[in-house]
This record gives sequence, structure tokens and C-alpha cells, in this order.
Amino acid sequence: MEIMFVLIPLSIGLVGLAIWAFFWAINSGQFDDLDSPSLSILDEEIKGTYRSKDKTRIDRQ
Amino acid sequence: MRQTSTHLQATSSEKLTSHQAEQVCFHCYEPIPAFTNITAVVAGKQQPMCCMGCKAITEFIEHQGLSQFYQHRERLDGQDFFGQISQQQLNVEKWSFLDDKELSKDYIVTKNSDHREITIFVKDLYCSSCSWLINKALQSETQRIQVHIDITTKRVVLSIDDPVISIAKLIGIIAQLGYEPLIAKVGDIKAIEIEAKREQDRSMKRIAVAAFGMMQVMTYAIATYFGMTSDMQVEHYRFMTLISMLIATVVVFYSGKPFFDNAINDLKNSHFGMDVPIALAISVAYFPSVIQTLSRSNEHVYFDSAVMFIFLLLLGRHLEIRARHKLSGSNSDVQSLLPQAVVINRLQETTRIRQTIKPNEVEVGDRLQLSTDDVIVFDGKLISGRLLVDESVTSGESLPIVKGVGDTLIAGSKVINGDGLIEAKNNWLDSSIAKIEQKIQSAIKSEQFELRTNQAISRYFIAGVMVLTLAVTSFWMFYQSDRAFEIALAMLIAACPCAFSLAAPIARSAATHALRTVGILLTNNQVLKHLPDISTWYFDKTGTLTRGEPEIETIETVGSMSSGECIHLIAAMVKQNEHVFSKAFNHIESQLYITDIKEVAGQGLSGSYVNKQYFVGKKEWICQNISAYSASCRKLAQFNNQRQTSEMWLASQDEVLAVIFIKDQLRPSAPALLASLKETGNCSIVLSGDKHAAVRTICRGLAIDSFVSGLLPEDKQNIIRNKQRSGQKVIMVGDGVNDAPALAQSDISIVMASGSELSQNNADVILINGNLNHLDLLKGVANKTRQITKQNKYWAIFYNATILPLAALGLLTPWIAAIGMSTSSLLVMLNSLRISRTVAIEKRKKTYSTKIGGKHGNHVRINTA
Repeated sequence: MEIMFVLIPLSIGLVGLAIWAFFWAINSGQFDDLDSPSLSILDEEIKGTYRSKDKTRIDRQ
Repeated sequence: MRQTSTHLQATSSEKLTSHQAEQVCFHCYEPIPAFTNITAVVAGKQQPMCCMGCKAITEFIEHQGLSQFYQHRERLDGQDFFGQISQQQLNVEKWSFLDDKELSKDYIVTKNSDHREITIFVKDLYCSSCSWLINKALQSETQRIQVHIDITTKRVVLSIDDPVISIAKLIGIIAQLGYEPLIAKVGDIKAIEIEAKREQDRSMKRIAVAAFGMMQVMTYAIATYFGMTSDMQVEHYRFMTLISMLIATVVVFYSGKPFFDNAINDLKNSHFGMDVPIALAISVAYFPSVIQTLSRSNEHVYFDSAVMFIFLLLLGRHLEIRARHKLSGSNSDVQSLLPQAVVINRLQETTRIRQTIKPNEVEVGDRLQLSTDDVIVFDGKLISGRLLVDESVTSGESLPIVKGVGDTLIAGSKVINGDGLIEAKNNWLDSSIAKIEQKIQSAIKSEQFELRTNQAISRYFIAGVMVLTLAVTSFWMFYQSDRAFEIALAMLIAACPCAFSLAAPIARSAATHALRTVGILLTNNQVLKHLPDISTWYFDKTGTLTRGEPEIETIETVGSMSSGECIHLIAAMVKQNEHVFSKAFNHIESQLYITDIKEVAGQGLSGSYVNKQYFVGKKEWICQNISAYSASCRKLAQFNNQRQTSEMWLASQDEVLAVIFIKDQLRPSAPALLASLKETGNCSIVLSGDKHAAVRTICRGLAIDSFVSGLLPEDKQNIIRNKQRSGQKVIMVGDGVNDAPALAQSDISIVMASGSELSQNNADVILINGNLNHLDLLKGVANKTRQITKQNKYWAIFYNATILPLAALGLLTPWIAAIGMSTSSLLVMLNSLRISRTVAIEKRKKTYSTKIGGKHGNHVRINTA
């Protein structure tokens, strides 16, 4: 039963980790908008190619 | 391409196929007229266009590098996105006040000289495509901008790090994309909304800590319960107690903080609110346990009860608050309906000067040029031009009104068609819209006063219990002082009105939650308490009992065309028209191509089809236009006078073809609701701003007690106030701003989600999908909630009444009392969950019946003559 003295603090550490992760999620706005991010994965663009000045985009297609 | 009313959802598949056959415009999917050869280059490819308007928009989108938009729009989920895109020039003038330091300080937050932040509401934000489009369009203007878009609250926050860029231009770009940006005031957003969001975040964190803490503490508690029966070693037991104490300390002081804060606040104001016994129960379970743990006595500790109690209470409160904040994502004053700034001509001495002002700075004599789609910002007189005005927002009149020179215009109305110059006739405080605002404010205040007196009653119960505990404890102090603490603790736990204080809120939040799943939003859950007592229901007509959308009732043909041909002809003619009646034809897909369509504001439309001129519109106008006013036409005119519905005439250049009767359709759910209200002994009265004849037609056949027509917003409020003076409580069901004072005056206000934002902000109940049958369900749930609350309260009183004497006599250890307390609370909670079951059963019934019955009242009835 002496293992209890190790396991209980360990479980508390895990709980602390879970709470920290949850706080991080709230603070970084993960719960602010639950609808639109699910669709953002459908954006296929490569960053920087949408600029109209970037004429190479048309060539590539 | 101006305001095409294409219904993408109904026909998107067939359109896509025809799109491949190159019959339709690449941009708007409208068929391309014959002999048209307009093209635009999209992503390096020539694409066919139907008109110069589409070409201009396509090229704008392409020029901004946003042609990927065309891939995105297939996911638009049926929203008529392209109908919304207008082809105005980049009209920055309207927003130019944002670049003026003085005028813009209410709207822009300046953190330092470089960083500016502005919040706007964009009404037509539907999907990721919209947010993608706005984001990219703005970022192509400047890279030093961050756009945060929240689709659910339809809010766009622009954080700009560029000191030179014109905000007016950025807003102009959003407007150019076809959206209608509404600038939000700093005070409204920053102070209230941000604080509400922060509070919600904090509440979620508290729940998380309490939940994790509860899991841990319960684990150890159960281990020690079993440990007592088996032979658990003392140091193990003590270790677990210490760990429990550690976790409970975090939970009590972090998660339980709001209860303590509120309780201290209440006590300071010598007021016994609900949080006083809650804080006391937590303290009584927690602090003595800490003393026992530290004093190394092997008595029982109550950390598990304390933590569980905090978690359950927090969860209940969080659900309540969330329901309340769900729809309040818009600012609440009447002014938000109006544009933030207008350009007026003000007379200074002898010359007129152009000035940009806020609507509430208007002075008598200011002049404003109005054109289609403008909102009128002050009461005034039309001095030139001719306007077709929608006054439904303020007066409830369902049909647009033609205004000529000299007519009065009311602030808040919208110009549907035409141009004109208007002169202000009074300043802001005297305008009709400001008066509505004042009325709402006064009604809200009187309601708050009543709430306070209600709370005063409950505090006597709590104070009584505490006095009793004190008395019994002092008795034991004299009689057997060593047992006094144990008994005081047992009594406080036993007497803790946890179950009692949970009885009503838990039942209410269970009901609130369950109702939300079917589309009934309670913003004030006191509704459930009062609803069963109220038997007087007032209904608004337009938009509440009716759909607020006109439909074709019948068509009488008199000429050489069949009714089907007539309808298709009209549908093609009115396709690009914004008149309210034109909406009735929106759903009809017509392949006819009409050229040379001309509109005469307030009269009708003309157009040619296969070398023939056609007219659709008002009777008088048509009779002026066609050469032969035939006998059949005269006969029709007579026939019409007996009808109460509105009519629309169709004629070719030679003859009258048909008369179409159009009516605002009753919601299919209305008759059933009114019948069931009558059955259960309620009294329903219809209040409408509309004409007598129109109200009578709609009300015919409905199980209502009476109706009153031609009412102004304050008349409606007065009727309700008079009823309340006679001692009755009333429910008002409405939707528009014209109902807002009445809604605020009534004891319970229920609005349709399609109604104006203003009325929603003052509503107790919001019906999301406009199904009036849900009111019946709401009534059922309110009755059930009352019944369950009653059971809960009886149980709690019975429990407290039995256990309190036992504890006072010293027959109960604190340990048993704590278990009793938890069990009692749990019972109350489980009992409350039965409310959700009633809603679930009802929901299942509803889906079943709609599957069988189908949508009735949605189709067009055509009587062929």
C-alpha cells in the first residue's frame, strides 16, 4: 500500500496538467467560436498567393 | 444584377448542370440574355457574364485576388448571398466620420497612436466563405490588420496597426463586398459584452477546477468509507484526508469565490439572499473539516460534500447564464436600427452647409437626401420627390406606403423605392423613435422594482433557520457542552436549505435547457414561475400570427392567358423588384426573358415580352395604361371590392389578363395554438397597427376573443397597462419595434426570432423557428416545472423538518447529516430532470406529425377561372 504515496501525488499532478490545459484553451479563445473553425480546413490556399500583385499565381494554374 | 432574388438552394443542382452548358452567368447563375457577349477573366479563364454589373463585381473580386471565392460559394448553404451584393461604387462618404478624430471616438478604441480597434456587426454573415472573403479583402488592403470574425454573433473586430490607413475605406470595402456593416459603439461592446465574455470564461474555469477537484476528492472519500469497514491504516487515512483538504481548499477558495463574494455583499446590505445559506453550508462543511484534519482527530470530514456542492451549483448557474447571453450579442438601443451617421444639409444663416452628423444631433430644418434602401433617421416632411416607404418597423402597417410631397415620414422607416428630399420637423428627443426608446426604459425600470420585493420574502426563511440553530446550540452548551459543536454542525448541515434552494433553480434550468433544444429560448427564467398564472394573451398580427411574407392567395384570369402563364410572366417581371408583393413570386422559377423592364414607384412595372408590352401593378395605374378598358375589367373591379385582401393586376397592351390576390399568410401553427388556448380557458386578443379590414380577414376563423386594429405603439402599451391596472397579468407575443413598448410593459414578453433586434433584447422568451405551437409546449413545460418545483420544495421541507429535530436531539452525527444533505439534493436534481423528458416526448411527437402532415399552407392555390 506504500505505492499510494507515489500514485496519489502523481494523480494530482495529472489533474494539475489537465486544468492547465483547459485554462490555456479558454484563454486562447478555443471556446469563443465553435462553428466557423470547423470549416477553415477547407481553405486550400497557400499563404501569400491571394495577393493580386502576385502574378505568378495565374501562371502556376 | 441589382438585388437578384435567385434561390440557390432550390435549384442549385439543375443550375450547375446548365452552368456547364454555358447558358448562365458565371457569377450570378442567371440565364444570359440573347445577343449578350460579356466576359470577365477569372483565374486566367474567360467566363461568361450576364451583365456589366456581374462583370464589375467579378473583376473586383478578381482584382482583390479573391477568385477562390468562387470555389467557396458552393458551400453557402442556400443563403442568397449574391442577391445581397450590390454594385454601388465604393461609397466612403457614409463612413467618413470614422476618419474624423472627434466623431469617431465613440466607435474606435485607440490603444496607442498606431493601434486602433473597431467592432462592427455584419448582418449577413453566414459561413466561412463570408469570413474568408472579408478577411482576405481587408488584408489585401493592408497587411497590418487583424480581422477576428465571430459568425454566431455576426461580429467583426478589426485590429489595425497601420496608423495611416483610412478605416472608412476598410468599412467601404466590406460594404462593397455586399454586406451591410453596422458600426458598434465602444461603450456597448467594450464594457458590457467583453465583461460578459470574461465572466463566462471565468465561470468555465471555476467549473473545470470544481469538476476535477470533485473527481479526486470523491475517489478518496469513497476509499475512506470502505477503509472504515476494512482495516485501513491510520497513516493512509490521514494522507488521503490531507490531500482531500488540499484539493478542497483550492476548490472552495477558487471555484466557490462567487458564492462568498455574493454572501458578503448581501450581508453588508443586510439582505439574506440565496448565496448566504450556500456560503454558510460550504463554510460549515469545509472549515470544521479543516480543524478536524489539522487537530489529528479521526473524525469524519466533509470535503467531498463541500466540493460536490460547489460543482453542482456552479454548473446550474453556468447553464442559466449561458441561456441568457446566447442572443444578447447585439447592442440594445433603438439607435442601433439607424445609421450611425448621415450627411445632411444644415441651414446656417443663409447658406446650406453639408455636414456629417449622428442621428441624435439632428436639428429642425435639416435636410437629407433619401434614395432606395435608406433608413429615415428623423421625423420629417417630404419636400420633393416621391417615396415608397416601409413603416412596418414603427407602425406595424404591413404594406408599403406611397409618400408624396408634404407627407410626414417617421424615423425608423425604410425607403423601398424612389428618391426624395426630407426636412426634419423636430429634434431627436421629440422624434417618434426616441419616444419609443424612453417608453421601453420606463417599463423595464418598473419591472425591476417588483423583482426586488419578491426576494425579500425568501430571506425570512433563511434567517429563521439560523436563529433556531443558534438557540439549540446554546441550549446544548449549558446541558452538555462537549457535544455542543458536533450538534451545531449536524444541525447546520441538516438545516442547510440546499435542497430547498436548489428546488426552484434546478427545475428552472432543466426546463430552460430542455426548451432550448426545441428552439424556445428563455432569457428570463422567471417566466416559468409566472406563466401558469396568466390567462390573458395579447398577440401582434403582422409577423406574429402571420408570416410577415405575402403569398399568392388566388388568381382570377380574364384574358387569353392561363393562370400558370400569368404567374410565370409576373414572376419574370418582378424578379429584380423589391416591392413586398414581389416576394410572393420569389419562389417561382420563370424561364421567360422580359426586356425593357421599367418601374414606376408605388404604381407598378412594365416590360416587353415577345414584342408585346405588359403591365403589372395597381388597378388604377393599369387602367390608365391600357387602351381598351374592357368590360371584363370593369366586372373584375366590382368583384374585387368584396375582397379584403390586396390585389395586383396584370395586363398586356390590349387587355386585362388577370387579378392576383395576395395575402399575408397566417402561420400554419396559429389556429391550433389559439384553439388550444381557448380550450384551456385563456383569453386571446389581437392587437394590430394594420387596417381594420386586413385584421378582420386574418382573424376570421381564429379562436380569439377580440381584436383591435389601427393601433400605435403607445396604444398597444396603454391597452396592456389598463389591463394590468385591473389586476390581471398579461402575456404579449409580438415581433416588431412597434411592439417593443407593449412587450416591455407586459408581464411576460414573447417574440419571434425573425423580429427586430430591439424587441428581442427586451424579450423574456424568443421563439427561434417561429412555431407558435411551441407556446403550447412552453405552457406545458411551465406547468410541469411548477409541479416539479412544488414536489421539490415539499420534499426539501419534509426532509429538513424530519432531520432537524433529530439533529437537535443529538441523534444524528454530522456525517449522516451530510450524506442526507447530498442525497436530498440529488433527489431534487433527478426529479428536475423529468422535465427534459416531457420536452423530449413532445419533440418526438412533433417530428412524427410533421413527417405525416407535411408542410401545409405553403403551396400556392390557383383557381383557374
